[in-house]
Amino acid sequence: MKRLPMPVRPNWEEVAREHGFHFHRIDGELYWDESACYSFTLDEIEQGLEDPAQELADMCLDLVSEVVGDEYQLNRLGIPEMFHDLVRDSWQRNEPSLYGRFDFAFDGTGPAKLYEYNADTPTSVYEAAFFQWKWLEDMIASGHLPDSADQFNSIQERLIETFSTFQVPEVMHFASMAGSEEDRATVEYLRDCAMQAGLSTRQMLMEDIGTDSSGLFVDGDNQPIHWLFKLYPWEFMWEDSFAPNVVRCDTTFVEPPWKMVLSNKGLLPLLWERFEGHPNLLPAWFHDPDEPPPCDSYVVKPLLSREGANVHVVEDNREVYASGGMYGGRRYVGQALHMVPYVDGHGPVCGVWIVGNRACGLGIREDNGPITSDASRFVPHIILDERG
Amino acid sequence: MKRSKSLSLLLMGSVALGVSACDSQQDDVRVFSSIQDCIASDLFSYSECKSFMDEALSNTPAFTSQADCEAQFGAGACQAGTQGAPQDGSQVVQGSGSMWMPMLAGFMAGHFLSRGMSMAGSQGLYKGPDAQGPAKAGTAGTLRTATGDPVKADSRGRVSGASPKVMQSMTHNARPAMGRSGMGTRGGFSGGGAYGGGGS
Repeated sequence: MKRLPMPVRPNWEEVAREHGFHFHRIDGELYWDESACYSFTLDEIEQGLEDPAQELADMCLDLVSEVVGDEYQLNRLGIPEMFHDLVRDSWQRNEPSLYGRFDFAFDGTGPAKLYEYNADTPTSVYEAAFFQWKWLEDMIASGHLPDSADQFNSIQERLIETFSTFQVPEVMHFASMAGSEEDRATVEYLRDCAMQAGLSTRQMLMEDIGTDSSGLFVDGDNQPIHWLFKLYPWEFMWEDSFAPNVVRCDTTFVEPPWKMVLSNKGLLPLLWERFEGHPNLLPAWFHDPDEPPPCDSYVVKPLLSREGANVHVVEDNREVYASGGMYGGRRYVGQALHMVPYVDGHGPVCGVWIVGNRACGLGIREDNGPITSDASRFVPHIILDERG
Repeated sequence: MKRSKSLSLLLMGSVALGVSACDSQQDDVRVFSSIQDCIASDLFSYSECKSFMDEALSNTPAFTSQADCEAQFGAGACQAGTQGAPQDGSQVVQGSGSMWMPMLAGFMAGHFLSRGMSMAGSQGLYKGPDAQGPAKAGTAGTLRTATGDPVKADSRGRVSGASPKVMQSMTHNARPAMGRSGMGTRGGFSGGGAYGGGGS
């Protein structure tokens, strides 16, 4: 695994615009960065990332089947009691999952270590699935990369395949929250894939969802919402005034309620308890500030948080880093400290995409600080098989 | 091969042409001609669009005479109204005759950063005096703020190259973008407890 400097396509901003990629800068900072790429061998991809991600995805499903009927475990995960039946029923009904992303520390040597599983509302799917692919095609066409260059990326193909298995009776609704261009574009991209799979779709805002006289969900035209893709985390749904409606409604949610078990940082200690010593897992525990942690250097993260908010890094029992953010809560998990590896002076985090429970692609984000947040840069990757 | 042979998009990029290259800032402020236009953008909810519009209306300048209003906004651009604050700062006396206000041609609204905080706000837009006169190339239909500053939007309605003065008057009317509220049977999904700071 190497980080190679690359020439930037002179017209890349135009290419981005033509393909609906309008958030390639975030807060004025470059987000899509093609001045470099990460280069892997096929073995590094297949043995280092793809196989472990697939194994973890399967382990996660086994874990869900154990946990959904276990009140004690659901409580440890902080899932409100009101939602326990919903979680169990959605699993027993076999409600489909669309996608998720495992974030790994990996530098090509030694086993990839799982930081966390973004199993409910992952973003950066468009840049990984489409724009990264387009970049490689352009670089091969312009002769900057050889014809043999490849990429671990059938994400979009898998998204379309997975959507085509959804038994949607009429229209599938796609919703994000108002005010985020990035979220809106992510939802638009997934809707694009759903349409390519032959589904009828409609895009809307979470804030515009209403209920009818029986408390069932309707869209802005008071049409029923039978299937809803929501880029909106389950832990927000718990707190919303519509929470009682969610429990009683006839809407099929994507991601499904059983994903609450996996999108929760409590997944990490649950995995460690079952598979202690697994090469791709870091030691993890439910963190109690009054109990001595099992090791001196560790990271404490809220049970429920996203995008690197409210993370504390403790090195030799001394706090060395803390990130602000508004996802704070009272319950935390601890995870043994494993710094982002440095590859040619940069700290990449490898996000392996799981679509329809199959590991099918990679997107890399790098950051200047020790915690990957939504201000990280997305850097494309290639596979160059040095044997060939 | 570990990657797909061919990929295409149906939706993405279909409205992308004509956006200027510098159109990638953190701010997302757009020009809307009406509440319906705002809702149709899918960027804001009905209640947000309504409050943007109300805000724009309530900040529309009012004049005690038609002549004063027309001097600033052009002949025929003003109508009698009872809302708004008099431009000279005096109190509106209820029932003592109406004020003259420029007709709202639309509003600019959206989210932007101000002193590091994410803000939501809007302000009214009006046709300037030049809309009535012989149209100079490129200026016909130019919208102006209440203080007469021209506002330009690209084909997606996104405001580009707004002057500091235009953004300053946006800030004046703005509120932090975090708090969202829904009414009645809509808006029950409003960000969970995350924005309220509570929750367990």
